[in-house]
Amino acid sequence: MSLPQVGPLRFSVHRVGVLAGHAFLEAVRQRVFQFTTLLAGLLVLGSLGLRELDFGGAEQKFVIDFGQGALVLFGAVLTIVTTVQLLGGELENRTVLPVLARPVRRSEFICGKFLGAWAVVLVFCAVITVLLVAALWLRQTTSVVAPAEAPMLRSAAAPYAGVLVAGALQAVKFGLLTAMVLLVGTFAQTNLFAQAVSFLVLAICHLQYLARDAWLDGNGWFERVAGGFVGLVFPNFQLFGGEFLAGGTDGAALLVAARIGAYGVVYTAVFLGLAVWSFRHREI
Amino acid sequence: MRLHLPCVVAALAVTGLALRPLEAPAWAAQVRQQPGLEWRSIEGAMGQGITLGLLGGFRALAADLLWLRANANWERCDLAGTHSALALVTAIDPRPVAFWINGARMIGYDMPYWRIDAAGGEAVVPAGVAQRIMETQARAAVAHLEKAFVHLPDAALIHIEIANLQLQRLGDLAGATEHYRRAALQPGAPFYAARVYAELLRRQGRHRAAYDWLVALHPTLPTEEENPFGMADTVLGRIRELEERLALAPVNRYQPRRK
Repeated sequence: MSLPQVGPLRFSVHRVGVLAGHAFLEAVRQRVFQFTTLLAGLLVLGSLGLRELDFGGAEQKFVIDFGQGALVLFGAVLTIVTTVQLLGGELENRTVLPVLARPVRRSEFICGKFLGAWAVVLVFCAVITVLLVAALWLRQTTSVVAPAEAPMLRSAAAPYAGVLVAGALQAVKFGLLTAMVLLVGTFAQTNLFAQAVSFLVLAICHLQYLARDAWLDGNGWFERVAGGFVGLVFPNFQLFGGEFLAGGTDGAALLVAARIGAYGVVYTAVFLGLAVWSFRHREI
Repeated sequence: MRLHLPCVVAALAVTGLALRPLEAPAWAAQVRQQPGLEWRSIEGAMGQGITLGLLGGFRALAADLLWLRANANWERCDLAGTHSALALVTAIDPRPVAFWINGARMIGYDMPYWRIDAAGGEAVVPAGVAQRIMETQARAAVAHLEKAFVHLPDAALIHIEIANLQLQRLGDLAGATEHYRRAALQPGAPFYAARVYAELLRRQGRHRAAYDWLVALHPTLPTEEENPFGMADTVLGRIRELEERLALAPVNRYQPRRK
């Protein structure tokens, strides 16, 4: 009796969807998701109470800054910890073996983990952004309008659209970070190593702009070469900060946001491709 | 993975290079809103750049807490402590104008008296030495404010604060006049900046320049009913005074258009 001929396994979006669904359910049950969402949400709403502590800037700017800060900080923690646990947990506990023993491609496994982890972060971004919009609305309804003693003191309307666009950009950034953490996770031997390297990479990406500018304007060859290398290899996370939305969400600002979104998506695809490639070469 | 690492780095470098055309205009727009992100030196990068890059949205809160510390130091007349706290506050969050202005007031108007008290008090310190201390501190305050222009190039209030220091502490009427002019030209400048500029021109005997400035200014002001802070009637009164002083013929006098 001869065995039936089996052709190469084709990439299946359905299997990716199933893996992503499982990864998502696993991630939302984790304490880190509940903890970070609760803490970030409390911080966003708490910014209304902390207005008394605002000495420098406009009250509205303070609330936006604080909300964005909570989104960026806890979103990064959630992304790294969740992604490392989803991939590293499977690798450490060897539960990846029965999954890969089935007709599942390694690329499907990585893409499923990516989509599952990113979906959790998207939920987090949506919740925090909606809370921030609510905080701004509450602030708007309770604030005292300044007299028009000078044109600069005119009361500004809350930039709801800008906050939503900035939240979307952060979601794109966390997608990119998820792909980067997956790449790190494919060659890391322990979860601790993967988390440490991921946080280091996050810090480098937030400071990438300094390296890039050092390449252009640095003094001496070492500063320029080192800056050029870091600036080329790491994506610029400061781009996703949404500072350009301070001037309003007109056509030009939305074009910039679209460019940044495209930048994030292309980088995510490249990092995901590298993660798949690296995982294929990994001995499990 | 050792073998793969160069391939990963090479792939990322190619991606970085390919995405430059997408990144550059977006980054330029970002820096326009926040000039503090711009690289100036390795020292700047190690200090302000890293703080800006890592603290993100919590900059405002961190700066507010440091501002409390600066005020606590100020109450104790701690010159070095206040100076360093002020520098930290503006390094962490350079965006609020209030930090720059109030910090400069501490440096320019309060610290001279701390230094004079430390040297024995006004009764002991010779007037010349006290004057030098006042001027040194005023220059330090102006230097502090000038750093703000990197982050707030359009801030009219910073120009006004520099002008006031030059006027009240340094006796530099020409410098103060120039800063009031720049303040008046900034978008969203307070109405009084343009009036004070004309007044300073008048004090220097430049009546014609003051007259031309006020004549150009008056049609741009809101009426008293629209916004009394514009003080359109006061400006018109000053125009009339200058016309008298310049002895302008009635036919050459300013005729305001009805709005």
